[in-house]
Amino acid sequence: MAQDADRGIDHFRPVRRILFGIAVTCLLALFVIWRIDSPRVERLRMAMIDATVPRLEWALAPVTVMAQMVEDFRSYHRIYEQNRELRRELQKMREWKEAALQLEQKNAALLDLNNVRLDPKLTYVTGVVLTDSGSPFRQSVLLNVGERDGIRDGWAAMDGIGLVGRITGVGARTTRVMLMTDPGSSIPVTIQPSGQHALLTGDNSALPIVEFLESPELVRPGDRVVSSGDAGVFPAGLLVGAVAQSPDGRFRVRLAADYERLEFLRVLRYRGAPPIADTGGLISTKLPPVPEALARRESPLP
Amino acid sequence: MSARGALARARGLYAGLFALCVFVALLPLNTAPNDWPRPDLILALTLAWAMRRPADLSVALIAPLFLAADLLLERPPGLWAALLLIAVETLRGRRRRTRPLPPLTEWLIAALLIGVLALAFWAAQVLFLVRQPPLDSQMARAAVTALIYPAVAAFLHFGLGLRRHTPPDGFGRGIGT
Repeated sequence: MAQDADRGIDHFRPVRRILFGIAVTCLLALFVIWRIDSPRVERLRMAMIDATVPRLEWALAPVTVMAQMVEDFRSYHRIYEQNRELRRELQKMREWKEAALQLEQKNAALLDLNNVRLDPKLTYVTGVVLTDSGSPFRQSVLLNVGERDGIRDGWAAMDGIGLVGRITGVGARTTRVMLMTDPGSSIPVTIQPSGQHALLTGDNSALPIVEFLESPELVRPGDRVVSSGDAGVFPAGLLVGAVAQSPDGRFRVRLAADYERLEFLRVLRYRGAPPIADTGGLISTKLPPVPEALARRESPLP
Repeated sequence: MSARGALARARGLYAGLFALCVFVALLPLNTAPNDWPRPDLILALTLAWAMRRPADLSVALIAPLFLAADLLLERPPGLWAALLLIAVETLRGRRRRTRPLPPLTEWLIAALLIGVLALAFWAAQVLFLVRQPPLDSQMARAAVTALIYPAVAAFLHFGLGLRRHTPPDGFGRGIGT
């Protein structure tokens, strides 16, 4: 029976050879085109993902949840310990909350006295994580929000606490977020309290590397790392994590975001600081026109 | 049942398993980088299938599937698909000369093919100056895939009953055409 199937194919052997040749040529051509004009092919990729993955959402979500439940179940034998630990932490948090409230009030009063204008609060769009990159060498996730929600390339994505990555591809209904652990990710950061500027580069490990540090002697493990907003892509001051030192002496960053469990991500709407185009008339001769009434009143004086 | 129906069913089964592998790879369970590379199930499945029933894997079926996987799994589009297509074609050509392989030989051939594919993939990306993960981690993944291969092959062999067609008695095909 199946014998016939084999023989049936045999008759078309030359045809199959040609088909094979055409297919391989086309695929390699696509690769070369991708190398030459990457954005166009990446848009094609995004469109293809956009067309397929949201359709799978009904299957992806429950399976993911099940798998995570199984993982959680494994940690049940430690539940008593965990409970006590959580209680202790909660106690500590209450203390901090009280302190924070008092500080906030004090801060508000001081700001009011000084008439300081702060940055407006950033608004965000929250998306659910649909898939990860599917490859062990790329670190990215796909969110279920897209162009129709007003997402733009380059915006920052956070979980509840810290920065997670940036948007690197937007489809109509999906968005790809390149995580900070991806080898292609580099993000300008500031290390506090020394105020050092550096670049945080992913290398496919859990702790990204701190690069281009001007004076490493000022940096200590445990220092806070926040985004610096240098490239004008990210808003400044988003929490990234804390400095850690690897055994070979390099500085790395322990990320604040919980990378083990990325479920919901916030995409921050950020249109960049408005550029200051001219010199403001201080140096140039161009002065703002003097109002009529003022000019008439001042002319007889001298 | 007609031969055509059986062939269509086998192709459908392959496509289904392929889609399942992609689906599993896409599940967002590994958002944190882990040290141990996950095996490339798609590669193991395709090679094991091609060792047994290359006729099921017609170019018109697998080329679009491979390309779709390239696009979905964030690889340089087309390159890995072309390499995989060439690998399947190699196994197809070899089919004429040999009888059903002993399991160990089959494993060795598969492991060799997996290694060569990984090297070729790496070399092509070096040639085109694509930024890519280091060779050692890519080879580590190839090794893990080669290790998982017998399990996949056993699943196809015993689980799905996928066997190589042996020529019936008296119909010795002898030398390949």
